[in-house]
Amino acid sequence: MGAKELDKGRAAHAARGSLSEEPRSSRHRTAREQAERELAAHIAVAEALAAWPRVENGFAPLLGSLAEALDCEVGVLWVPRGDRLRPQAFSQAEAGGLAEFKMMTLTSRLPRGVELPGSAWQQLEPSRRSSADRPRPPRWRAAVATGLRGAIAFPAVWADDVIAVIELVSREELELTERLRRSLAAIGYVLGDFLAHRRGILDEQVITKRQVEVLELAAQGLSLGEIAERLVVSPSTVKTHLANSYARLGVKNRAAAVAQAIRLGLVD
Amino acid sequence: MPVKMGIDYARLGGPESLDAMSDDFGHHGLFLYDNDDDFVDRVTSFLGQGTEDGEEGMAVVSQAKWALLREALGDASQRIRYLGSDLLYSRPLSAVADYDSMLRRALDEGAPAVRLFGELPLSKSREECEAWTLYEAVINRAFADRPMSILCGYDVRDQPAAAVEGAWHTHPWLLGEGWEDNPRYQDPAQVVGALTRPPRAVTDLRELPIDADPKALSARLRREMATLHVPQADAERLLLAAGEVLDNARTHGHGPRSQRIGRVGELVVWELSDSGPGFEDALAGYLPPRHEEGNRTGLWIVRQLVHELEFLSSPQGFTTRLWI
Repeated sequence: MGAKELDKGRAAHAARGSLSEEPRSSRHRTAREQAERELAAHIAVAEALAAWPRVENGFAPLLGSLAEALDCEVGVLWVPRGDRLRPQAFSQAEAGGLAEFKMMTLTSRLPRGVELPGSAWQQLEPSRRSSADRPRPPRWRAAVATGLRGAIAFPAVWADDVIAVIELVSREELELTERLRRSLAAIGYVLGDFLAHRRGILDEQVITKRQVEVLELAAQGLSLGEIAERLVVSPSTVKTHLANSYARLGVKNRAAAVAQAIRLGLVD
Repeated sequence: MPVKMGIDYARLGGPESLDAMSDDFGHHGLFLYDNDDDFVDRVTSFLGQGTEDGEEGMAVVSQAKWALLREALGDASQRIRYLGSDLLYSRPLSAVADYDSMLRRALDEGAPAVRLFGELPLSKSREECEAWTLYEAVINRAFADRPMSILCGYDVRDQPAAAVEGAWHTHPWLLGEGWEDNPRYQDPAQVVGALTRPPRAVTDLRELPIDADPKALSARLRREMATLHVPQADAERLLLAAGEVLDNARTHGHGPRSQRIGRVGELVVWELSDSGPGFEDALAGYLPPRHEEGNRTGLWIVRQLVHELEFLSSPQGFTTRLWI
């Protein structure tokens, strides 16, 4: 990922240039504008993945830049757990004002086919919602009440498996053109591939920064005492960090933990 | 005990009116659960992340349930105000008053909104179930347009079926899988009306004259209560409540016409009749007054003070009866 260097400023400017000169009336976007928007979305995803922080909070910048590229206010990452989708991250462009919608989103556990993210999960393809659609479940009414009007959701897919569903909500009605559908499907595959190889980061109990530091040093072949010296802590503290990371990674010893951490992309 | 957690979504496709009826959302939700994992998962989501935005989070639950939540919330639990449910939910109507003052305080302190998770104490009798069902119905109107989200948990392993049944009729939204409209929700006034018993027949009350001078009138009531051996604290409450009722009779009821007082079993009964048309409002006195509207304060104060409040309409006029 790191090899994919992009000139962020230039690319974003090129992709969004014409948009900034016109009032935002999405209904009559020209084909060119739409194409530019979708390009911006692709770039946003590529950048977010390239810059992915190895541990906590990686989703917020990903959702934020993806939402921004598509002129959306809110991005939600849903992850399947058992037979329900759980909200894993919620990102909004401007703080505040969405309290009810955010609360209802974070407390929802959606089965297949229920609400927009559930539809994208069930159908394995992008879905769309408009403020005019009926019926309106309470969560969507809360969104509409705060001025949100359109939403799209698409699955991040890997090997026919839905790894996550991304829901984007906009202050404008969103049209799901054939082009955009294809774009989102493509982004979904990129994301799915990325996330599938790092399922560890989708787990709720992500491994802590300190545990990663310890594992990194362990991967370099340092002994317990050497790691302790390097991190300026006692050997027993290092032992505790290691023991906790074993539990999180589902392994039983140091070598397996290092191997698993490398496999999950937590450690280089 | 298995619980039906979700409802059939297809049934919600229904009439446009359902949609038009409730353009608001989420202010009073019902969460039925039958295991601790669901409880911790949903309630921490409700309280935890939302309060990052500066909303005031409150949990009114038993100590045992709070212990579960606190452990799951970790550091975030410090942002949640915990109130023991045995304290706050000692009496349904004072709970409404407490919510109201907590909301005012939080807003004064700059919080944009309040988010409250509450779990009522286990009802031990049919009367308790009904009293709490009435309270749940009142909540819908009391905080209808206030920045307060309330999620009510019902542990169906413990709560009696009648309490759960009452909850189904008094919460417009369900936290099932997602948030759902509750098809069994009923208009609060209808619920309160159905739970309000018709006034009892009371005989043997002593008729007292009505003094024009308020001081003389309260002195007369005091003397009368002394002969009835009414404890001092009860007498004070009755005098306060009677003052409000007299005020109402003067303002809305063409002036007080007659008053009666007496003992009925353990309780003291006082009633006042006026010549006015009275009113029919099942929710009278149940809704906390707002600063901006002064005229609904009287009956609210009365309800907070008395054991029971009854209204009797007759061709001769309107009677307000207090039980203390």
